[in-house]
Amino acid sequence: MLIWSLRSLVIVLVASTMSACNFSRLKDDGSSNESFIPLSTQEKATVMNYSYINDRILKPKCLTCHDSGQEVDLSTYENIFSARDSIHRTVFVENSMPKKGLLTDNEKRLLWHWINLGSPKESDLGTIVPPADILPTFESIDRQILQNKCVVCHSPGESGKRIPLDKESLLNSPLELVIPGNADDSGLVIAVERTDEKRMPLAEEGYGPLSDKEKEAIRTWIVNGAKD
Amino acid sequence: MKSLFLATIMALLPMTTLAQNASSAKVAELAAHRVDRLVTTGKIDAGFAKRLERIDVSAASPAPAAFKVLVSQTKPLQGLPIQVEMVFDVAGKPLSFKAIPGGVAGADPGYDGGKNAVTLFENSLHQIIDSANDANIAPFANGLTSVILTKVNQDGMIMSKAQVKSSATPSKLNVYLMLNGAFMSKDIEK
Repeated sequence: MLIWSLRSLVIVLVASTMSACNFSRLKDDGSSNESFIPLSTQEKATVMNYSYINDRILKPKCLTCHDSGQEVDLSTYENIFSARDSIHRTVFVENSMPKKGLLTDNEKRLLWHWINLGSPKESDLGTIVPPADILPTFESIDRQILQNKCVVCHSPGESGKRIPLDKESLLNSPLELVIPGNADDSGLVIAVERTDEKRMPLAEEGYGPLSDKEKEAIRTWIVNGAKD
Repeated sequence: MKSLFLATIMALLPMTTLAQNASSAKVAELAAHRVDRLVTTGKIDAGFAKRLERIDVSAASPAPAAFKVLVSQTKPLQGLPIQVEMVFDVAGKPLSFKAIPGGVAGADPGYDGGKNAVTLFENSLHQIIDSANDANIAPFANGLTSVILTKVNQDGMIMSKAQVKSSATPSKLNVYLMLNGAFMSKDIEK
C-alpha cells in the first residue's frame, strides 16, 4: 500500500512538472524546426502588417545597425521584403541577429509569423470573422477574450508573466483580480474599464480596448458570482 | 518505506507553505498595486499616483494580519505627508486600509517619462522579486523594511532611484529606472 502511495506521489510530481513545462511558448507543428504558437484571429487582423512589425520590432531592434546608408539597409518595406529570407535565416536558423538587444519570445513569434505569411504590407482584414455572442461564463470569456487578446502577454516569459489568467489564478490572486459578486472592486474589471495608460490590453503594446460587450460579459460573470 | 513516504511528505509541506507566503518585497509591490487600485476607484487621495515617495513594511498581528504597510506621499514643507496604512495577510491579500488624518500634500517630483510614481515603484520592486534567488538580492527581497523613490541625475540622465532598506543587512539596494519605467541598473550600497 505504501509502495503504491509512494509511486502515486512520484507520478503526480512528475506529471505536475511535465504539465508546467507544457506552458512552453514554442510548439512544434512539424512545419519548421522552430514553430510558434499560432496567431489569434485578432492578431492576424491587427498586427500582421509592416507598420506594426516595423514600429514594434524592426525599428527598435534592427534599425540601430541597419538604417538607410548602412551596408544592409532595412529602412524601407521594399528592402525588408527583399531581405525577408535572410532575416528569417539570421534570426531563426543561425540565431546571429539581432546583435544588439534580444527579441522577446513574443517579438520572435510575431516576426516569424509575419515572414511566414509573406511579409504582408497590410493586415488581411478578411481574417476577421464576426464574433459569436460572448456569454458571462468563464469558458466563453476565456475562449473569446483572454485567449484572443490577453495570454499573448500573460504567459511565462512575457511582460505579463506575473499575472496568469487561468480561473484559479484570477480567483485567488492577492491582487484581487476577481471578487465574486463585486465587479466594481475586481482588478480584472478595473483593468479593462480604466482609460489611462494602464488600461488592459495595453495601448503601448498595440492593442485597442475591449468592446463594450466584452467588458459587460466580464462584469456580469463576476456579479453572478464567477462560478461557471 | 513508511518513513521514506512520510519524509517525502514532510519535505514537500514547507515548500507548499513557502509558496503561499509573500516576501516583504512582494508585499511592498502588492501595496504599490493596491495604491493604484485605490486611486483608480477614488478611495484614497489621487495625489498618490504622482507623489508616492515611500513604502514601509512591518510585521502585524493578530492573525490573519501579517504585514502592516504605510505608504507616504512626498513630504510637505510643514506638517506630515499624506499617508495610508494598509494591512495584508501572510499571502499578501489586502485586509484593510485607512487614511491617516492630517496629511498635507508635498511637491510633485515630476516623473514625466510616461510612468507615474506608483508604476516606477512597481517596476523597481519587480527587479527585486525577479532576482530573489540571487544571494546578494535575497536579503532585500525577504527583509525589506522600506523603499524610498527619488528622482536622480546619473551622468546627465534623469532617472528614478528606489532605495531599499532591509532588516537582514545594513547595506542598501538601489534600483535605477529610466522615467519610462525601463530598468537601468541596480547596485548595493555598503
